[in-house]
Amino acid sequence: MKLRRRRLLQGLGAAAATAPLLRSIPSQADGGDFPTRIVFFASPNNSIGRWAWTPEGVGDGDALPASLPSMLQPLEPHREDVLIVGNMSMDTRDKETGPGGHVGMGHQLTGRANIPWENQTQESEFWAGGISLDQYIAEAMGVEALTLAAVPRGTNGGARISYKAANQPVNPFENPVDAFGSLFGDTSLPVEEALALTSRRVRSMDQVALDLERLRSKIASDDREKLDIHLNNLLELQGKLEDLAPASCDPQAPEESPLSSGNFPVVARRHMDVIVEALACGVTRVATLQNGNTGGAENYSGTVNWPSEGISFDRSQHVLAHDYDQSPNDSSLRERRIELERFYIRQFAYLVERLRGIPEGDGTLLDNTLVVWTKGMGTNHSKDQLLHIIAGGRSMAEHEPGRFLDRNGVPHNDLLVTLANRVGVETEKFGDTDICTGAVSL
Amino acid sequence: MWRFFAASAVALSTGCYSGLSVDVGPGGIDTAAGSATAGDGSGDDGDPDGPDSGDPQLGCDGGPRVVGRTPLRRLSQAEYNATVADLLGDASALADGFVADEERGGFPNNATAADALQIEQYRAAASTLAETAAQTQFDAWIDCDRESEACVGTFIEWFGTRAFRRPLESSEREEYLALYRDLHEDTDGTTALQHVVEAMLMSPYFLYHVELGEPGATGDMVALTPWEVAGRLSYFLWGTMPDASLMTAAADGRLDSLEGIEAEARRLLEDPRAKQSLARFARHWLELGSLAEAERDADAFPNWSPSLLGAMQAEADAFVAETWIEDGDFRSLFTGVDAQIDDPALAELYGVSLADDDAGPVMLDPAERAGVLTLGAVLVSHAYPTENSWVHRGKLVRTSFLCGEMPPPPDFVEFEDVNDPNRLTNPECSGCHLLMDPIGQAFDAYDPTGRYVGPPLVGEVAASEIGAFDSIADLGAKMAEDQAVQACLATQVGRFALARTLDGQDACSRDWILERFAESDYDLRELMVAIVTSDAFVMLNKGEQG
Repeated sequence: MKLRRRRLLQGLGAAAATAPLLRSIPSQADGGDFPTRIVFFASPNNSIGRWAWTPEGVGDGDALPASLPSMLQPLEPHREDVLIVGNMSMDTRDKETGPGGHVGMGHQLTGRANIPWENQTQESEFWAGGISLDQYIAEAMGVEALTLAAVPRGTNGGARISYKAANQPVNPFENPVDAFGSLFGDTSLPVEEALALTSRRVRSMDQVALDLERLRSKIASDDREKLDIHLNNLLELQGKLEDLAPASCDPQAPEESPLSSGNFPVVARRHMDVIVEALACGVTRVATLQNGNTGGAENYSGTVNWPSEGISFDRSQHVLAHDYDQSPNDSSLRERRIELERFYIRQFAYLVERLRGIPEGDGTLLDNTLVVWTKGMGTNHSKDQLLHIIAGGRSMAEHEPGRFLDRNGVPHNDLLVTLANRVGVETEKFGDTDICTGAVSL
Repeated sequence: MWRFFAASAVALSTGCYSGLSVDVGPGGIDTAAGSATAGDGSGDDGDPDGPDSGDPQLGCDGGPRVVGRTPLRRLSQAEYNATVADLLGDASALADGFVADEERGGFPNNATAADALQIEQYRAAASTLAETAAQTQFDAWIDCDRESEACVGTFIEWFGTRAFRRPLESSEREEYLALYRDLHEDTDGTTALQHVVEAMLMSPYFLYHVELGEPGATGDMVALTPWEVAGRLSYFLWGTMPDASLMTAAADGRLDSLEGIEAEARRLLEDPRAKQSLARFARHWLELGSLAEAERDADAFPNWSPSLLGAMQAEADAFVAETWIEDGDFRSLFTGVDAQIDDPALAELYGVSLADDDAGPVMLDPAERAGVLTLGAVLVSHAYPTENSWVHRGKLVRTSFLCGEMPPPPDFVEFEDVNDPNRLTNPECSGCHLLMDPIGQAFDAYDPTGRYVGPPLVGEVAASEIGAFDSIADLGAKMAEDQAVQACLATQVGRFALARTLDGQDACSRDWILERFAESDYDLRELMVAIVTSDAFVMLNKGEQG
């Protein structure tokens, strides 16, 4: 393999002394003045049944009323920007060999059943079975997807939502500060020095690539693919460093803050701040925020204490979700269950609000961005009564927010197709082609 | 000895949902142990490529030597931290910020391909470490002129051997020297060398446990090189890179025989780092990963203090390490009452007072306490804030100590509360829960904070030689003599040693290990020696994965 040996651009001395170095993206969506973007917002556990989020007296295609169900109240100010898509079905679950609803973590963005972790017989651990929609769209757009997770706790199928391919999970940034640093580089050095340092690092990576190739030629065949992926990621990182240039925008760095379950709401919001900066500065067009893991952000046997949110539960989110499912008539459990979902809706609304605060042309960044609420499971940990919420995208062709849509029983793969199409990525099917029937009308 | 490991899959799971069976065969039951291909009398002379065992291994007489496949894997976070501490004197624990370790069979494994973020983290760490080393270590390491290639060549040889844990090939030495030369065109020698170190810290030879086997060996089953054996010994017994003596032993050919490997293993076991490594083993084996975050209800347990969590962790680390290395008796793991505590609040919780001189272990009441089973760390991490958990405590015994595997619960489980007896009678649940809850119920003699509240409670380990027991102390005594528990411990340590699960191809190695463990009357130190002299430890399977 020939290694890339591009020299860094010289003669940038005229640029501001300590402007952040970043990689700008050239691509724009076809036809529009501003590029289309998409953000996935995944929350843990299952959807509560449709009764909790279907607006009263509203049918398929109707406009959203001024008053939304209590779980959705934080979206009331944004209702004209919001499309609620209810009752789709995660039909990929029919093909799942692993047990339990939480396998849906791997289904939600890939539209495929999982693959049990290689050689992990008799244990339920899994990785997803194909590329996830965020990565797929990013590849098609020629950008790098930004993958973030607030307190995912661990490296396993229940803690990963984004995949490059089957068995290839994308590890998310857990610390918003690290994510920001990766996107916007080190701003502490003068530009000339930063470029010289980067040039030396790039040269060192050439040697690492040689080591990888030498090792690859000697290793057992099963392990070669790992080294291929390693080398590929190394070369991509090298390219990223080579392409750095002084930024034309002025992104705000997030503050350090504990990555703990107790601080989860703050960590998640700082991640959202990074997403907003990244989309506004044009360093990517695709981002995913995974809130916790498939069950929450704390120990299974832990509790939830978020004083800043006014939330305190004597059990974990996961246990609360299960307990409510088992005793849906227990009003105290129901209250807390709705309170928890309303918290995530409030977080989602925070992101919507922030995107709406960035002007782009005559509109805002939100108008050129789809923000997609997803979950890995339907009601009672089943595949049914999935809730999807799509915010933003006003400027996109055929997109008409402000309505409630009942897509009862339609496979969720079909929505993945429509989302890709809306942001300008053409495909007829996504994920498992036996299950996907093509784009769903929105 | 074959009987210990030949797993007979007893499907008791008729009440579990379809498609999964619960394997509760006796002892170390990793996957598909029954499908061993070794010892099939194929007529092959089985001349080992590996070090001569000098002793035909039981169950494998005359057959070819076969071991399971160890996937290429990256250093764990703990290994990375310990390695850079030894290599660079850097104790900043940078790997704590890396993507969390993947686990296999309960222990860190990191066998999945490194993704973009991990490569970025490795790169950033390498840059930071190399910069710090240039500022703080170069003067001590290098006493010649860093602007001269002769000086730099010597340094590259010396540092590279330590970083890659083997001597450099001449082509590698030349390439790294060329890197220095190239960088030196635009910068000073020290800075150029800093980036040479940076490259080595990003190299796969540093980041992975690279195991290629003896060059030129033919066939799928080959001997590890002495350097690779040194790496396995050091990372298993110390959790870090080989020290200078071990590297010398590899260079001198002393790791080419099992006797030499055993001698080095015994040396390593006498070092305090062996206890640190065993404490890391125990945190996985006893499922203590989330102990630090455990919460207890202040109203229900007014004597509880979060500071107990740290004291309990320290006690668990010390109990396992001291029992293993100083006492050495397997039985003490399940019967020991010599508590390693120096925290007054923890002593109060155990109902004992600390000796004034603060020396030596405190003896607990043998009617109340039984080794790891009743460690505060274990009891607290397997309970809820207000309630005990029959499932978590029973499952720990079933999986960590008996190596059984329990599938997760199906959808739509119906239960009224955390500890619901309905699980034992409802046929949809009882198939699995009868294997766990009747063990866990007996642990109700301890509250969620680990305090003994009595009275002793009876319980049962179904589908096991242990059967019914009168109290947790009685359970510990029975487990201490149980063959399945002995075999399971060997399996667990084997998983830790090899960073993988053991499969049917490891059957001969497991026989070898168990035979020696039994011959030593279940001495835990001898278990370690048996593992490092087994084929699974000293050989490599280069074949494709089944």
